[in-house]
Formats: sequence, C-alpha cells, structure tokens
Amino acid sequence: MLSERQTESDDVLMQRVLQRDRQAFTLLVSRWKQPLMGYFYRQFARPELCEDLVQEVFCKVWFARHYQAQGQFKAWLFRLAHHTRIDWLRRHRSELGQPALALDVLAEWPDATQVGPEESLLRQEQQQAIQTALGTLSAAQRELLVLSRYQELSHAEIARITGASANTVKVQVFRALKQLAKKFQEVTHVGITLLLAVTGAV
Amino acid sequence: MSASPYCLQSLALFERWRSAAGATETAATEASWREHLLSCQTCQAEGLSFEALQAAWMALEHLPVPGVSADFEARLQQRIALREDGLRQSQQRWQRIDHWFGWLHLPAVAVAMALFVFVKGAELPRAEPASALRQARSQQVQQWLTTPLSDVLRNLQEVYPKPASEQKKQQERNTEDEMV
Repeated sequence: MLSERQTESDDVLMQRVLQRDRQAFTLLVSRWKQPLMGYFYRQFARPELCEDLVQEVFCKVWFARHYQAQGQFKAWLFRLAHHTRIDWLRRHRSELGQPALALDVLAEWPDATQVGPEESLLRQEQQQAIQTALGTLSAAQRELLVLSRYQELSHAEIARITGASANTVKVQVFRALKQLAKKFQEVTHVGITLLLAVTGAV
Repeated sequence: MSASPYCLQSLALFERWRSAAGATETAATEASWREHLLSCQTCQAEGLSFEALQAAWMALEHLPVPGVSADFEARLQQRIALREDGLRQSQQRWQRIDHWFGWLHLPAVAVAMALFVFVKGAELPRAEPASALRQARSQQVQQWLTTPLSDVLRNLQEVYPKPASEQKKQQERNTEDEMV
C-alpha cells in the first residue's frame, strides 16, 4: 500500500491530505522536508530555527482547506514557505543578524571527508566564504538565489511564489548573483590569504 | 534591492548559461558570455569577470545543509496534534455557548429585528408638516391655469399699462374697425 503510494504524484497525495489522509501526509513530509530545510537553512543558517520553520510549513499543509495548484505542488509548497519566512522575519526582525554557518556542520559535509586535508580545508574556507557573502545580501536577494539555484524553479514559478513578475525575478536574480560574486571575491581573497598565512605557505 | 544598472545582453547570456543543457551548449554559452564581459563597457564598469560570476554560482552548489533531526516527524505529529486539540477545544467552546443560548435564538432575533425597525423608523424622513399648505398652493395654481385668456390679458394690461402713443394708435384702430 505504502509502496504504491510512493509513486503517486505530489498533487494526488495533496488531494488525499485534504481528506485527512495521514499516510499521504507522511509521504509528502518525507519527500519535501529536506528541500524545505535547504530553503530555510541557506537563508538563516540556524538549524533549529530552520527545522521549526519547516514544521510550520507542514502544519500549514496539513491544515490547508483548499489546494488548487494542480501540477504545481512544488511552487505552492514554496509559496507557503515564503510566507512562513516573511511572517518569521516580521516577528523577529531584530533577532536576525548575519547568518553564520557552524563549522561542525561543514565538517559533517560528505565532500569534506572524501578529499585530502588541505583540499578539505580549502573547501571549508570556500563554503564559509560563500555563506558570508550570502549573508551580505538582502533577505529578498538571498531568497531569490536560493530558489533559483537550489530548488531549480523557473522564473515564472519563483514569480508565483514571491508575487513579483517573471521579468523582475530574472533581473533580480542576476543582480543578486553579481553582488554575491563581488562579495565572494572579496571574502575569498581575504580568506585564502589568511589560510595561506595560517598554513605557513606565505 | 539595489538598483544598479545592468547589461541586457549579459542578462540574456546568463539566462542561456543557466539553462544550458549539455556540455557543448554550456561551453558555447560560456564562451559568448566571457567574450561579452570582456568587450562590453557597462559590464567592464562593474568590474566582474566571468570567472567571478561562475565561481559564486558554483560555490552556491557546495553549500552544505544539515539534515533534519531524527525525531522531526514525531515532533511534527505532536505539533499538529496540539493544534488540532486547540481547534477542537475552541470549536467545543463555541458549541457550548451556542447550546447555552440556543433557546434564546428566536426571541433574540425578534428583539433584534424590532430594534432595527425602531431605529430605522426613527431615521426615516418624517412627513412635511406644511404639506397641507403646499397642496392648497398647488390647487390655486391649477385654478389660475383655468382662468380665461382674455382675463389674463386684461390683468396683464392693468399691471403693465401701454404707453400713451400706443394707446392712441389702438384707439384709432378701434375706430377704423367700428367704421368698417
């Protein structure tokens, strides 16, 4: 029964969730918890908070009364996530500082263990640099990059999620990338210089 | 969001590069974009190389995300159960209130309607006290309308007497008429 359901589309599962089918809901949760975690974590970089926000999104899914986004479950789900994020930002504006990526998370990243110690250190440095660079972008720019880069959503889908036009999204993603590239360049330059100094290469 | 100027061609090339399928298309788009970034003045002014943009875009891919905790789903179910309880309790509270006041529905509606009619009735424009006077005036006007035209002319002549020369001419005309 469960294995049959595993092949069902998100739309079908969502229709069942509307009829209070817990199994369908569990399947949706298992499919989408990690993408949603990625969406929040790449913006806030606080695992506990992000988990809490993911749970909030799934609560909204469970208590949803209507679902009319036929064939666009992903966009619908990320729209819920977008609104959850906005609500949180409104309530905790003062709390939110620069997202800082915990180094223990980086150490757990599989890539870091598959390469040599020097390369691993460099990769960690690069990850830290991109996270720092991401932290310098505005919340809206960060969200656009995350949606565009990680969730593989089209501009039209992102537009539907954020409520902007597809053209605006296209331009804003490009601007965000340019700004990120500039910051990344600066941070990487400083980071690599420091790293070389620490490892005694300079 | 910053409102820095951007090059439309560069934007289009970025889009092509982003959605390029396969190594050949990616390489071709890369070459065009790189060439454009080197030759375009607007892009040059921004001081961004293709390498910098590509590095940032690629670095995003390697950003780690921690997995959700092991008890994620159990906690989610708890959270949902708590909310459902809350919803149920609030529904029950309403039902209880509804039940308590259930027998009052009809009289309450009747009282509300009576109040509404009373208040609205008070707000309605009252009949003009001088309506009898207005009716008398309109009757008078109607009477005037039935007055023969000759009387009206005579009255008018009394009010607006003709000048002396006109009166003389009129008298002459009348005399001629009599002679005829």
